[in-house]
Amino acid sequence: MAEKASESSNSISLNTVDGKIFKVSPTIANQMQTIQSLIKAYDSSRVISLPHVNAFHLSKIIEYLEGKSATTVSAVKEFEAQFMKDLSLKQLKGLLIAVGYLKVNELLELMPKTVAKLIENKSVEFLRKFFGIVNDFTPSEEAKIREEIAWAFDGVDED
Amino acid sequence: MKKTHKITMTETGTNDINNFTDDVLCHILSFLATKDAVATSVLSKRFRSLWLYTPSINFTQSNEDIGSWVVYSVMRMKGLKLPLKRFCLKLNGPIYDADSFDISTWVNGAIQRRLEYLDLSLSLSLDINFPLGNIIHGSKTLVVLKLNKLKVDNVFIDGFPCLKTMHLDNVVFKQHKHLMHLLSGCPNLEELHAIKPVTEDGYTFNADNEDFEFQSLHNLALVTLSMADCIPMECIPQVKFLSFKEDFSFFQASPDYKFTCMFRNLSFLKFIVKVYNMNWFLQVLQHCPNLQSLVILKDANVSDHYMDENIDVKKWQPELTPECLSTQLNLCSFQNFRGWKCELEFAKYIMKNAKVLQNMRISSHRSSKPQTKLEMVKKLSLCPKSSPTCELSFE
Repeated sequence: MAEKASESSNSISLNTVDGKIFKVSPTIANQMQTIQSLIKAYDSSRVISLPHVNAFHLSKIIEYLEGKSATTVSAVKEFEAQFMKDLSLKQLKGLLIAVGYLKVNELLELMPKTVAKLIENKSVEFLRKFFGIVNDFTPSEEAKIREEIAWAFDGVDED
Repeated sequence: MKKTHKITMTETGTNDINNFTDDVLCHILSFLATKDAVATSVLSKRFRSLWLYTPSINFTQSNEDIGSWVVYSVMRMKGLKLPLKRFCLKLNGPIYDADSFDISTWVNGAIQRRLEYLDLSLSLSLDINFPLGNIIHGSKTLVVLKLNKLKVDNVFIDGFPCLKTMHLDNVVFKQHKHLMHLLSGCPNLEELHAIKPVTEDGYTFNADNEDFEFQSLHNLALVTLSMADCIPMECIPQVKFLSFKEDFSFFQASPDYKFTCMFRNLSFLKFIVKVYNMNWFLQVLQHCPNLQSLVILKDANVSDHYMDENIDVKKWQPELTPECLSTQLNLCSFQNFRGWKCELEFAKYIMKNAKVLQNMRISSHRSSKPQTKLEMVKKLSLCPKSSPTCELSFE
């Protein structure tokens, strides 16, 4: 009983943008650099608000940080593969934004790698659609850049 | 991770990209081939020079039709002030108009930017005699070094004090001492993977040919070797995971080859073999008193009943039982098992002598017929087991 009380007094409360409160252990919280610096800035009893993170993304991050503590290297690899596989593209992008904001270093390694796999050797149009990029070049500006780096466009996949 | 995501417009809102920081985008670009990363500069003004800030350069074989000027201009554009952590150059044929001078210039330029990861794969057929030791004397920042299909004919004077991982695949060393110098210049190595290192002078460490004193690599925990005589076993005394990828030509050529050191920390041992040589397995086992797991993976492409002709399976009766069998070994796994006599005999031997074995796992070769599998199961189930808790499983 006493142990449980001390554990909950140590835990850190995080409030997501959609108003859900998560209690996480210091071990988990310390793996998010942004929260680490917020804890230092505030008194630890306060609830920390996360304006850019919703409940789904935070729960996924916690799921990852708890799950990857598996013992063997191969078990961690399997877990990571499954974790990435379960995400839809929309979730993947949203989660990556949250991970970038919270600075979860291990996911900042794993997720960009997965995204890079999805976009390698793809056309410019594909990439614009993928990231939701608005082309702010004039046609002549774009043509000029394409000419400068023509070698980079050899052998790109058709859409 | 192989699942492909279908892109639909409902999933991509316009200006999604504004939510990504430059850091995250740079991180994504750093995992792309340099060619793909450069191509993103046409996406929008924000992307125009983003790729320049990725700390990696990555040219692989698929860039077949780019000339050496491309590498030069990428190196120049990235400038000396921006950090470069990874440099990867893989040329798998005579595709570049580059000679050893060009390659030296690039590698040297990369090393000087406090490089941490160098992956060089040059086709030997290019016949580039690459004076690696002349251009890199060593590096104080390099953590990972991967060399594939190239020739080393110099000594790295300064060494690699921070190097943790070294992969050598089909690297030709002009003299054996070049290999020894390279290894002894990496006192903090943790992982070594050396497949078919060739020494042109044909010397092995056994040969009484040099007065080179080798320091043992005390942090080296993970080792994969083929041609075991290229690297003295004495220099890897702390190894925990050891794999032998062996064509056995060396063992057959020198049957008197003897290990002179004990691997007291070794808990995992794997043989990847074409030829079954039970005497060789046993000799290694004798030197691993604390071994917990043993894996024997048979090369899947060996189709003949291929084993060492010098061993008569029927009369095979080893005199000494390795210590690890009586006290430590709890997992033994045979992969690509075909039920050949020598395999069955060795599996029987393990079950008969391993006193604390918990798991005996047999996974049969994909071409094995159900009938053969059934017979294997029968034969092995009837074998005497000295461990009462040993579980026999077939896949």
